[in-house]
Amino acid sequence: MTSEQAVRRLLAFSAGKPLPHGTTLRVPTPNRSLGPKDVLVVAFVRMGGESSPWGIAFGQPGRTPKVLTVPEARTRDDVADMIASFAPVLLTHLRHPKFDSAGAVITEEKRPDMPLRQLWLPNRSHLDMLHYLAYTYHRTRYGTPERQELLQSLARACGWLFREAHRPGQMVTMIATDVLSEAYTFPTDDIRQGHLGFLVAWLTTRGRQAVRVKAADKAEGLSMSTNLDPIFENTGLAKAVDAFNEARSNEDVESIKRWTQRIHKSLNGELKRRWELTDSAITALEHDRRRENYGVKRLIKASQDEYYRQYLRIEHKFEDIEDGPPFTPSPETDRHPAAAGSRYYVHLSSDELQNQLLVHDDPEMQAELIATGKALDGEIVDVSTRTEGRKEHVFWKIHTNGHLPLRLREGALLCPVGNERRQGEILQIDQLNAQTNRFVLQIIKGKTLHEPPKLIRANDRALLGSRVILVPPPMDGIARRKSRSIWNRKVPGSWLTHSTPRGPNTSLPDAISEDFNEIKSR
Amino acid sequence: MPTKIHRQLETYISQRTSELIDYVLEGGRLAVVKAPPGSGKTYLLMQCVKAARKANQRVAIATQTRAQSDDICRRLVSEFKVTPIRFAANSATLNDSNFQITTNAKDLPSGPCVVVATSAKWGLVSHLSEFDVLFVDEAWQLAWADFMLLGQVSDRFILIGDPGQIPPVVSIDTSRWETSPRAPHHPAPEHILREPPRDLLSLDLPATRRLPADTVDFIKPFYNFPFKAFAQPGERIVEVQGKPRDGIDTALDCLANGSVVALTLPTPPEGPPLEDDAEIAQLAVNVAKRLVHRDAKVNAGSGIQNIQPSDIGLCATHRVMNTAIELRLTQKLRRQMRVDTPERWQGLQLPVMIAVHPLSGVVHPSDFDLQTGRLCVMASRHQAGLIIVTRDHIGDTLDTHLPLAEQPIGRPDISGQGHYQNTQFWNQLLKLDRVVVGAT
Repeated sequence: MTSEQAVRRLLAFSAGKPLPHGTTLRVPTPNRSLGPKDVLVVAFVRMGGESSPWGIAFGQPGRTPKVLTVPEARTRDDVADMIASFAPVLLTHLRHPKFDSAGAVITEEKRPDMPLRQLWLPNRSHLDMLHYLAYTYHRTRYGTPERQELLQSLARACGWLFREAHRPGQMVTMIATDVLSEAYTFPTDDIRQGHLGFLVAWLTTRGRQAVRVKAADKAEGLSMSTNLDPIFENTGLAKAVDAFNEARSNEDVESIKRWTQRIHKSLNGELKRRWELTDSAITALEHDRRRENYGVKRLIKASQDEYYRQYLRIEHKFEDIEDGPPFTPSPETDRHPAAAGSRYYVHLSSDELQNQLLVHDDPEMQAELIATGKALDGEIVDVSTRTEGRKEHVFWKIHTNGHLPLRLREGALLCPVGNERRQGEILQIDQLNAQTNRFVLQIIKGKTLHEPPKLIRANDRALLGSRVILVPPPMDGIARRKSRSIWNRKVPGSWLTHSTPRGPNTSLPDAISEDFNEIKSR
Repeated sequence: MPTKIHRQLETYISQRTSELIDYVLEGGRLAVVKAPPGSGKTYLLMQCVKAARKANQRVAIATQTRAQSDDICRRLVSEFKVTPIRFAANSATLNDSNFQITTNAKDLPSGPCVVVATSAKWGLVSHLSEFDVLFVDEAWQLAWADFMLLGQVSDRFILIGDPGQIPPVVSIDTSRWETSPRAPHHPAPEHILREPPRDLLSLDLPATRRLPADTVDFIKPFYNFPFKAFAQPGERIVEVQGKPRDGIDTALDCLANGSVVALTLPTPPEGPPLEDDAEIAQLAVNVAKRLVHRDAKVNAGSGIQNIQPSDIGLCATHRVMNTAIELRLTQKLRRQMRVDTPERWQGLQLPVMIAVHPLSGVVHPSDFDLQTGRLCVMASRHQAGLIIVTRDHIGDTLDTHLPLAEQPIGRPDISGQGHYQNTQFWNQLLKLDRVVVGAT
């Protein structure tokens, strides 16, 4: 925890309620940048000690969710049936070409604009369930060819959603607890913020601190991860499952039906609670009066690009100049060096974009950067120029508060808040006295930009005495260029750099591996 | 007077150098040289470059920072009479009349030449004419993904580096690739040595020329291969004049009979300040000033000399701490004393270093905190004396910490290893009575 985070949390404790974090919202919410139909909320439960889902609840926010369950989560075929029933919903939501007319019209040359589609999950344990589904059905051989294809399509979708969840700044796989913890500062420790019911109770309960604490504590007593409360599971449900299994071995159709319904009823309540809590989290964000950060639009665009490159065009089997051949990545890892390197660079690029984009439209984020010494807030005390041939060099001297920590160094690039097109390089840092640091900046980009009153030419002495906040500029372009270049195998050193790995950890079982030939044949 | 061991080491190094030069001249495709700090890695690289250039090869050199590129260019000119071309990024401001500087790949000669650039620059160039051989300096700092982009430069690679130093800096969650056979964020030589091609030439340099003899015992735990020091025990010293008045003086006096000493400040009951520890910053500055004021003399390998402010370097892991130190120096000293992070100290050396221990502000160390690369760099820049300043909780913190071994199955326990190495380092200081407690 940084000192800035510690202070925010202490303020929340003092206020006795969650406090908004940031002056803007940094996620797209339904009815703002997204239509309600572009959001699918999904929640899972599983049997104690088992990995596979016991039930799924899904639906659009504000509506009644649909709930699917199986009476016995250890029966693989029954679980596969349930997953096959869920698959068309998720695949339609993600515009899989076979399930959605919009997704089907895409060609290699033409890519129509399509709104962002999001998947919301209650917390990270539900995200792990997507990984499980990707693992289980990656190359499943169960059932008819149609069934296999359906389940494998679902596995690819889940695999992409899981991988995308780890890309910085992504706007597709939304973990409700993470989103709320980012949007608000809760007066509680990190571990308790993994419980969605706890967070929603803090946000939605009105009244004094004691009232909110009581509501949050009560909500925390109810399980909301994919696991059920062991007492609940062991007392009622376990007996029902035993009875179901006995009825099944006796081929007692009536009993099977009765116990199936009973198990469904129990799981239905559990699943709905998880789903509704996620819906409530979305509603809480919708009711938040803060506006969306301007940077969100660019992050949405980046997520749409990733959606096309890493999901839709792979389903279409299109080659992509930036992201390489259309192959299905393994749910385990990227074994092919170029595939791993390319995704690594994309994540680096996304990280840079996220970190340096949102700050321009959020004074609180700016204050955090200034307080941690990663940005400058100061007064321009001198504007000077030096002419070299036809070229004019522009220099600013800026005085800042000398008491603040400083992480910037000479050579660092900065841009004025709200204007990434103008950039300066720090040439010199001095401490004039205990209260004041002096920075000398050379303006290296956007010197002549002139859009008054917000932006005037960098050499204009009218800037003297004005306050300026300077933050690191976005640099996302370089890592993206590298992610493209790394696919180029026609290079002299490819015998080493692009060779197929042969050492330890290179083999994976077929059921979870990517097809190297699919990558190399392109 | 050179000793027998000295002569043996020189002979061994000379043989390895010849072996590597022959390999380069005979068209060998891949060599990896690992070496301890201050063992002459860059010198070896430049010897090979000179031989390759003499044989009319088209030679590329990749470094990990702009400063390293500039330094190699200058040294090639001054020490080897080789005129390189500095292939720089657009924003490079280097101005040196001894060698050509270009920013455009089209301006590079198509015939024999020596071109020096950062790995980042080489990796982003397009339409490049192939080089006969690519040398990579500080190769353990180069991530595999970045090395892959160098495949466009040449089909022959000579990688030289120090495996004990800081691995590539990564700012994102890399869990997706932790079990990848060629994890893109891991050092490139690690992957090459794990699955070595049949024609790989693997060499090591056996001794450090930079470090005092007893320093080797401190940093040995950071390496998985043995090495020695050229310097004899007691040869490299720092001696100060006058009588000791306080803890700082006591610590400086210790440098007369050993090259490493730690100087501690009490840890406040509420724990140490996290990053910006004003008292520690002031202590580091006071130590530097005291060295100058007490007319310290130093033998850094070329006889006893009066210490100058420019002979002293300061280092802390956090930028914010370095700034705190820098701002406490007088304007004059700030121009003379280099204050920087271990990342930027790599490849550099000075007679005396003052380093803030990486765990000084950490009482619950993370995996990142326990990585020993930074400590290893900080403890291996000096030629004569190293003063480590720190809060006094380090021993307790390491004693009470339990590494969690959270690494993926089949991967090395870097965190546990780091904890062990950190403990060894601190215990060595305690064992030799080299910790001066409560400097005030």
